[in-house]
Amino acid sequence: MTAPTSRPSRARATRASGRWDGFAERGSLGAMRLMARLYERLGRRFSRALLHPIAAYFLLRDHASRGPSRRYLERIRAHPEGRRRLRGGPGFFGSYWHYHEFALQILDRMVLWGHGLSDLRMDHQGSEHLFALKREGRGGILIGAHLGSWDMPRQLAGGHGLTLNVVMYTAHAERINHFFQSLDPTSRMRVLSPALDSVSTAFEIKACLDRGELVGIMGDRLPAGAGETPIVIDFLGLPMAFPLSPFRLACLLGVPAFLSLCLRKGDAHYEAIVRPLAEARKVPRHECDKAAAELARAWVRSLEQACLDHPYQWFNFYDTWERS
Amino acid sequence: MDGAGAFETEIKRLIIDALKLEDIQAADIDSEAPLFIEGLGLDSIDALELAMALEERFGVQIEDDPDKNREIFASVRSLADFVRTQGGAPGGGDE
Repeated sequence: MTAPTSRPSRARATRASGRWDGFAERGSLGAMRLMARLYERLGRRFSRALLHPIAAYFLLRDHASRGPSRRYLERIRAHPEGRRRLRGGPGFFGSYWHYHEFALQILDRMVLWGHGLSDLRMDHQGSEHLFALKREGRGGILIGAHLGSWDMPRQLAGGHGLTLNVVMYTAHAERINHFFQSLDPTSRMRVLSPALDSVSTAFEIKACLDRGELVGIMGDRLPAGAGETPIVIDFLGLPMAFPLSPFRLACLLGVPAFLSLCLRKGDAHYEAIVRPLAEARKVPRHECDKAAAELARAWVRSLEQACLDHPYQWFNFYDTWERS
Repeated sequence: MDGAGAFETEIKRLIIDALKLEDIQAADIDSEAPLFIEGLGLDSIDALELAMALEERFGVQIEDDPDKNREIFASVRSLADFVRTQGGAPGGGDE
């Protein structure tokens, strides 16, 4: 698919609100509270064992997310590299490990925010790029995805004296975020929650970057209801709409952009990955959309590879391709 | 066309040029109509891009004040008024 370099049509993706309020955010808050208590009293082994009935429950109960999960895993299965990583066969029960992984990472997020890193092992890949930016007093854009636990780098950013502003449309994440805040009130991460109809959002982000801070944006979901210019890029073999904004911002302001993920590598073992997408260079304004599209494609390729390597850690439980 | 109208046309041309609105003519843009979100459907990065173009051309600075920005970017007229009161010289030689 080619990028709309001149954006003549100004097409808007149509988004039905409420589709995200499925499995991911409906079930997780209650489950997290319960798991937090059980973990404290009975420890990790018991809590982990409990994830099996929890995953089975959601697999049976949550009709809305089951189809999307199965269709996503079909895309993974179509790829030889992805197929090797899958544990179940195709069909209904194939999604079991997908649900299980999600429940497990909710548990670990809760552990991280309650106990810090003492119960978890956290490896790093590429964080030196962020320290270099800090030394130079420059900002950077971390473009994450709902693959793995993106919450994890928040605390890391604080621990290393980096200020991270996370752009979050709180209509979807407010409750979970509130829960985390109550666990760790000292968290140095700031949430930028711009109004969807504000013309100032980009100015606020620029102000953070001008102060030499990091800005985290999710790159795999079009914010519901926002005037977002999407770009359509093949993802796991099918065209999918991605937001172009994070990449346009990087090009327009000449700040470096990174793929940023935190993936689970083993039990209680994670790796925070920061991967540069391209050399930071200020692009002349009239070439900005083209450069942004190139950046977006580089990010999607990197994300796709990470999906194939860690297929069950994709936590978009809705039809991501449908809206393309 | 009076001075204010000519300056508004200049701002419209700058918007079309800066944001590459290829299918739109200056005459198609209503000076009082909303530009962003509704109206032309421009988003906040378009606003930032436009602010950078205005800064280049007229030397005016637009900060990250949400309330003020809502006023400034309300329409072509409010943008033109802002540039004029900030000392941006109208009439960049296009007329």
